[in-house]
Amino acid sequence: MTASIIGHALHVPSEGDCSPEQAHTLLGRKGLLGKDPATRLALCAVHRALGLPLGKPTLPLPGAVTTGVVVSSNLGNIDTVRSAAALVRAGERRSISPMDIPNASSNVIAGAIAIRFGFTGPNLTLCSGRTSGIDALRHGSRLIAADRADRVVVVGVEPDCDLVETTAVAACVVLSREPGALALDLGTTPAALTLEDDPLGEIYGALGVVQAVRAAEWLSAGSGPDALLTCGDNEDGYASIRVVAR
Amino acid sequence: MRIVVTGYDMVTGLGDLRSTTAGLFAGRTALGPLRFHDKTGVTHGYQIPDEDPEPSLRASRWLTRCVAGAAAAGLPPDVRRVHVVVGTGLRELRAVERWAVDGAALDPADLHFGRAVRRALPTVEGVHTVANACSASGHALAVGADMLVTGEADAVVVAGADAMTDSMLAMIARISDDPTTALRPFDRDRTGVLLGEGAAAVVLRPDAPDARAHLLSTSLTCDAFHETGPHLPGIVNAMRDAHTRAGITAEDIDLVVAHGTGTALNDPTEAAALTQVLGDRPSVTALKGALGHTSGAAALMNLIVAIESMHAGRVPAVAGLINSIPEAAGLRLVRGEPEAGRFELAQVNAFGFGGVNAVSVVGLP
Repeated sequence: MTASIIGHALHVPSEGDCSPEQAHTLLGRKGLLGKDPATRLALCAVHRALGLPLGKPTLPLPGAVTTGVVVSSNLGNIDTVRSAAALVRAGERRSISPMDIPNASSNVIAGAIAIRFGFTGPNLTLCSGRTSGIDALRHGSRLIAADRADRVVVVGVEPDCDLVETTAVAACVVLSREPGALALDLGTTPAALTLEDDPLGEIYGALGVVQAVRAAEWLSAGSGPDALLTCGDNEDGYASIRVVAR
Repeated sequence: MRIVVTGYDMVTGLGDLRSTTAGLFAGRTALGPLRFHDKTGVTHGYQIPDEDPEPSLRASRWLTRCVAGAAAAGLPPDVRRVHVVVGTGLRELRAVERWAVDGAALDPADLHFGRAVRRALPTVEGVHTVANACSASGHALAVGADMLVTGEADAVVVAGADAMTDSMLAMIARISDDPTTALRPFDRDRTGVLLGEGAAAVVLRPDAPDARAHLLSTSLTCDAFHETGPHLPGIVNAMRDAHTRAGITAEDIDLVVAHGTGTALNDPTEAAALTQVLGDRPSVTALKGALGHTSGAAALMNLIVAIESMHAGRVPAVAGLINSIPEAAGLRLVRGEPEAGRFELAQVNAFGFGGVNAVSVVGLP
């Protein structure tokens, strides 16, 4: 059960990539109205990992029908839920914008990716805490192994959120059934590079996918044969996965 | 690999597993005035009668209980690599609301269900919280089955859990000027959806002698069409793919436990898909008129009631259904009284926001 990595991208507004508010400079204006910050960041990362030209993609994209989506995010809809709850408590429930109805759902990011890029394969959202990002990679490669998809777009994303003091980031790894130069390996044996915490600081559910992008960049530069990614804590347990050059 | 269900448990507004199945066959509903959620615009729901004041982390509490109950029924203590996959629509977002509005303490680790599961099963290898809206536990079922097929787990407990939130209730009220006071699946006079709450859990294992049911397949598709509305082609594809994966044809299905949310859009779309794919052969029931829309737990509740119905040789009627919608004219909806018969193979539907569809096929062992 392995899958190759055929594309990857990291989108970090604090390092010069466009902010959620400026997402239209990459994605074009169409289809962004009412999208929350985490969804915008995720769309940017997917857009870049697929290597698409600026603007809204022309559908159908090749292979979209058998492409699945797996998103890891613990905090994407927290601000929507909290502001709606505050309006209810203040007796102003009618001030809730109908545009926010999809954003209240924890799976809004994965649904928005499917709609924008036309991906009709299985669509999963993981909110498993600290292990969520690496879990997303494992669930993504399993969708291919179980013949549910030929290609899976795996995204780890968190917005700026004061509940956990996160740095906003989105990472995307595109997995494929076709052989490639890099692959995920579900083993946990030691490797030339070990990735645990990330230089971006607290990135919570995005961590595992960000690590996978960093490992892919390191391996593509010919720096070594393999990398071991680990995330978790005593509360959520631990998850690991390897990225290897073939 | 033949995957079987060896045990299960659930808690709903009608009570525990036994009270829920007995209540469904007796035509009872859990409908009542809504507690704990003032000012949302929604006045009714299908709640679990917890004590006052509103306890914290209610979904986690029900989940712990159901995971323990399902494990006691179907998970031998010597099984080694056990994973738990929890489907949920709203996680513990109610705790975020109470943190934001009342300043209640909130530990982010309580938003997902690792702690709640480990209270029941301390030695599990992994706990996966799948937040796939109203079809979450259907998605969890597919993930769990796949983990057995790939050999990553020796047993998987698949669960679903949801409690209501003010924000989701207010969104429901925002869609309709006059929110309904009773959920009536497939009825032409239906006036919308209401939430229920509860949890459910099933134990999946590779072929075991003490099986309660055989899980033949779960299909997952995404409409990639609309953020909140259903889409006929996506739902039809999910049903056909579930049959193909199960190695059966549409004529083999005896029973359907439908999604049936009582909304303007879901019921005609689902009825059209069922008519197109299955025709008038199977009996069709739906639980949300009795249990409310239990969101992420709904798919597993449908699955458990399908299994109970096949063993009992009778199917509960659709609570609240009097005159069916024209799109359901060609379906054998069970109305009024439970229907007796021989049911060997059931299809279970779940569809969610984001166009995420999960359709399972389950049979007697």
